Amino acid sequence: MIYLGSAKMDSENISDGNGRFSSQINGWGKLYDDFIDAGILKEKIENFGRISKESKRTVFSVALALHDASVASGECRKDIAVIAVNQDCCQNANLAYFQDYAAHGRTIGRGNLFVGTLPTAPGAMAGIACGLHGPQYFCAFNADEQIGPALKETKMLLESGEASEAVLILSDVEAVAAFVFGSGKDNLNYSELDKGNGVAAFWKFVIAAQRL
Amino acid sequence: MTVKKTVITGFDLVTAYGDGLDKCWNGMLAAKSAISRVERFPTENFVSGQAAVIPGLRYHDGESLAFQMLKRLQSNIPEDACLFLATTVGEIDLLEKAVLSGGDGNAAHQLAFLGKCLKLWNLKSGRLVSAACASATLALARAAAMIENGEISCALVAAVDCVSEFAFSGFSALGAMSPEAAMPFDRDRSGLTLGEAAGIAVLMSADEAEKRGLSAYAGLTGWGNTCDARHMTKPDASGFYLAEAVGKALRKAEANPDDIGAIMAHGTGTLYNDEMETAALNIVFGKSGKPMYSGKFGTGHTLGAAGIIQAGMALKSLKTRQIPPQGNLRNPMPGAEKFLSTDIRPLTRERILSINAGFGGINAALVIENQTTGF
Repeated sequence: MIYLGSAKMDSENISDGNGRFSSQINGWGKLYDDFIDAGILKEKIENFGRISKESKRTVFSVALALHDASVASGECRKDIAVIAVNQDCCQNANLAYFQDYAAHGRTIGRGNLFVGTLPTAPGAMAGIACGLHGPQYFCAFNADEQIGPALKETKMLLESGEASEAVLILSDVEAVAAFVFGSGKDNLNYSELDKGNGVAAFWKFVIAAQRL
Repeated sequence: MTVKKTVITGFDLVTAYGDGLDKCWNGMLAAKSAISRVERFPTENFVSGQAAVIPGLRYHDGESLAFQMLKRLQSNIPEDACLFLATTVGEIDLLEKAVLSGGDGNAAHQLAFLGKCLKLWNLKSGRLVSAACASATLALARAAAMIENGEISCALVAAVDCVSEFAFSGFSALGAMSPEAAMPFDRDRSGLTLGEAAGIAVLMSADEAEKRGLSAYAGLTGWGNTCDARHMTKPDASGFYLAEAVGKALRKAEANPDDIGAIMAHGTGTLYNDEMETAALNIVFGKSGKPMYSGKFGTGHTLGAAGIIQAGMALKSLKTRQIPPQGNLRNPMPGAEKFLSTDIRPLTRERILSINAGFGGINAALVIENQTTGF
């Protein structure tokens, strides 16, 4: 499995793995326009303002990671898998939907909040924004560490030929990061993979991979 | 590396028809619906007041609906099995109860649910796999992939989703529910009817099953997954990407469309899904068609558990050589006529195709086959 590119976004910054793109965040609208102008996002996203913060972060991170990995052209994106890993699963989205429903007298829910309760929702939004037509699913592991099993899952998907490339999305409450992998001889240094969890630990690992 | 073919050595199911695979199968064969009025929560504000609910479950009273369902399942579960838990909402009724009583709802966390399930079956490792309404089918595929790759020797795939106020209100808000019981692939269909179910499947390599002296119900030999990447709730009407998923599954199983004897369709009864699915099947099977049915007329749409019911019905078809009729069908929708029948039909091939689709444009297909094919 070959590491091809990455991007990370938290509440203040978004940057790619190669350090070619880094930007402070001054509102979703400005970032959205910047991404369209730079060709990182190819198409406008319907109702972008209504999707959740995590979905927005995921869309920007995946788009930038694909750009970083130079798999940005339309045709290249055909059979790219999306695997999303998040220890929170969809707990916050579930609470947001049902609290809103309860607060409004249990008469009718809000459709956009309901759709966001699926653990696959942020990855699916990114898939729509970036035209990713490969396998798409969400995983959470019972192990203390999530990164090792997530990498193994990604590697297996690529080696079995189920997708040409894969985007692994890792999210926690602080940040979202996306990593693009392709098939081929492994260029990851697993000794750099510590037992840490979350975006920060994985980011450290892939940056180490680039030094190889 | 030697590819290890995956077989299913254990299976159980609980649906609104009752406990066990046979109850559901008999309901399907009789084209009898298990849909009834929902008494669990008020439904007067929703489009529908009906669902396929499992009798005897306690709601907002002790254990979650999902956990109660899973506890009713019986199978010989190997202690080295890796758990693949497929669900969309999990123990969402615990969250409902907490929110409605002013609590924080953290008891309903999906990873806590995974932990409970591991404890229930005394298993050491596991993962949650979620892919909207294709969750069970995706979980079966990922488990088979790990077995084929030699990553694990044995898997327990458990799929479950419940009828909850959470899901009811959400689907009602989206305008996806039918006021009457769902009519999959009918010209006059108007939406889905929710249901609840739980199922488990024990998977291992054919060699491992032989070593353990276990007989296999069938082989899980092909799978394919794609994404429309078009819209969050509306599938791509052309059916192109679902057809691609079916094509991937057939290639993996080293089969061609003519080898398929029956199709366990997703068939939710919504305008969009059934149109997309019919288009996809016309791409794959062309003019000839294949016997197809959707069990959601009777089990309701059980969301993340839908694929495990379909897998169970595939096992029964392979064993009994029968294909259930399409229940609650009056007038087949255009394009679906050649696939559907209101009569029981004979199974004349050794492979069955099971398909699911979910929000986000997720498509999933499985090929389940008789061991007589010598896979």
